[in-house]
Amino acid sequence: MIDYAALGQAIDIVFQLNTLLWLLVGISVGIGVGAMPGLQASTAVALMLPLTFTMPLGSALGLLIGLYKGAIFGGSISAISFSTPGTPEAAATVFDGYKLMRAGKGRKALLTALYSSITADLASDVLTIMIAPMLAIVALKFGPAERFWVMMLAITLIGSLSGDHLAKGLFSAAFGLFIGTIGTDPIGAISRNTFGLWWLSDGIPFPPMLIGVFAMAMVFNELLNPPMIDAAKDQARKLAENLLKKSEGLSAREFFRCWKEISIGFGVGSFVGLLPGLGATAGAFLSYAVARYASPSKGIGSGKIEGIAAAEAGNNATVGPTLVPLLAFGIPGSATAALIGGALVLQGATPSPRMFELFPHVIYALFIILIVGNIANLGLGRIFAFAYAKIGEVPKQYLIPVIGIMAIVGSYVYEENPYHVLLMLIFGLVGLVFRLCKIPEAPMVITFLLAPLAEENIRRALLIGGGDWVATLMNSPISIALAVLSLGSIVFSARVRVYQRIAEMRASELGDLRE
Amino acid sequence: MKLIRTNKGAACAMLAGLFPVLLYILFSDWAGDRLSDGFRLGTFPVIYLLLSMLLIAVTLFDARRGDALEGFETFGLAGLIRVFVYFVVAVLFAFYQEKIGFIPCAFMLVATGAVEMRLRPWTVIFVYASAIALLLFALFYSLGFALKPIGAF
Repeated sequence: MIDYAALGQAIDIVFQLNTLLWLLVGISVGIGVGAMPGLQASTAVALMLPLTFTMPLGSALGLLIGLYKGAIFGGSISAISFSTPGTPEAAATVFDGYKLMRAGKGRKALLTALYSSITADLASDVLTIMIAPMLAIVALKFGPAERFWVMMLAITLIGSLSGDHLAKGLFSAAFGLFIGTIGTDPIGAISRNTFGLWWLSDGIPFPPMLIGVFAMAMVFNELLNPPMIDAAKDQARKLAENLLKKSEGLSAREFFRCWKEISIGFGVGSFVGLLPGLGATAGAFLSYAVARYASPSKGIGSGKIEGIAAAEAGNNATVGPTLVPLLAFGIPGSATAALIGGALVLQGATPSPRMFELFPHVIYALFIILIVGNIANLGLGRIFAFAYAKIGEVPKQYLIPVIGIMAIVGSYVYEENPYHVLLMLIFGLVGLVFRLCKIPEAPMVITFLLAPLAEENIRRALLIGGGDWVATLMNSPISIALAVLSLGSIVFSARVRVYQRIAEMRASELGDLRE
Repeated sequence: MKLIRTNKGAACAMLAGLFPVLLYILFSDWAGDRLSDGFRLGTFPVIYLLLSMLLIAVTLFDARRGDALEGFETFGLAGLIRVFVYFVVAVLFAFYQEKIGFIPCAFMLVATGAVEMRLRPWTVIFVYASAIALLLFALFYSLGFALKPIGAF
């Protein structure tokens, strides 16, 4: 049932000059950030989050959604131009994109990436608009026990599917839950786990924490081993040479030839986006693998536009659906969704199943921005993709000091509290350790947000159930199904990792025998 | 030295870091306080911390315990010093920028980052740090954040 008054309000919010301008700024910056190797969508959103503190809702959503969409597409620019994916999401684009670039068809490759990204993104946004309200209606019927198990499922999925080491992914999730307990207990609001520090008595604020984990950790990582100047100059010169070459464009017939790969990308990417923890990188690789398997005669992998279409449609199709768990259950499905959730909280619209009742205009505004963002992304991508490729590799000597100060100032202006900068720096060190130890950061960030909610729900459920754990937590078929799925996700993931390990060992043994 | 740069070594270091936290909670005054619903205040922090320690301990024994962590091989003591210096300058920025002023403090911070990132020559660092400090001040000021450009002095 559409709330037309709220829809009108949302249209007013979105079609204001400020909102549209910030959307354009977000997409422009996002494409640029995506094109710079090493910077990810989550880093860009974390760095820009502080700018939204004083913005009205529409501008804040425009900036962040624009950044997200722009960065996911932007990653393909350097993947195609220099064989260096700007973001991990674009890694699958390298296989065909760079081969086309070397064959003098860089323009064709970039346009294929742009059009397939936008097509799949738009289709997945429509899917998001249809699915999220239905899931929210289901979620509203959940009691505390079901809500607890939904969170457990999200936590186990995020922990077990993030990164390439099951125990490390789950450790990250558990550690996030632990730091989520710092501050006060969620029911009695009694101070706990503050290490005797008064500035931790309100808990760890979300913006400084994630700016630290995503942005400052990157700065520290670069400071550990800064690049040599000559190497950076040489790299930049080589990139400029490549980009100045003129090459043929993309015809409509060629683009429509990729319909099958774009459809695969849309289907796979949307499904992957709906699951918490997998993200755009998995969407791109899975979509690429399925497209290759579905059309072996097309020669995907040998420099074909179909390969680019599958990979780019696969990663961009996750953008909308990754917001579905956030909007329907209040559970962010990815780090970037967590950041957008954080921005919504700061705007006073806390994501939850009741969000559709309490803040319908916010939901509609978000949906409209998702759609309008694609049109803006298409326009900006079409006009500036080639220029972005030229500036894509700004030397890190210039980039890192700016990221550092943006992170520090951003954390400070959140509440003008210097201790927030200190916290951000500490989480920068935590993020650095995670990077060096190859532990995924996203589970920690997401479970940090879920920790108080999970604790609150289990304690409420136990209060209602009179303290009987089994009867309370297994109170309905839905609870039992969710519990089985939570456990199943870990078991499934463990088995997949074991098979992967065996396959790797066999491959290495075969290699040894051949030698 | 090589052992430290493996999953096993990292897990040992993390366990060594988390164990004092566990002791802190277990021996703190608040952890045993009983809440109105029967839980103790320390129940959830202890459960989550023990779970974290258990999961990181798994990496001590699983099939990938000997895998190298290449990230640790790319830096030395100089890298750690650079991070430490930047950390200290950033903390000083946070606590003193209101007194000294945003623009000089931001200049110092950007310049520190640029020097540590081996940007040269010094004139470029000076121009670059000045420009970034001014631009950032203009950006945040225009968005409504009350930053003092040259401090209270």
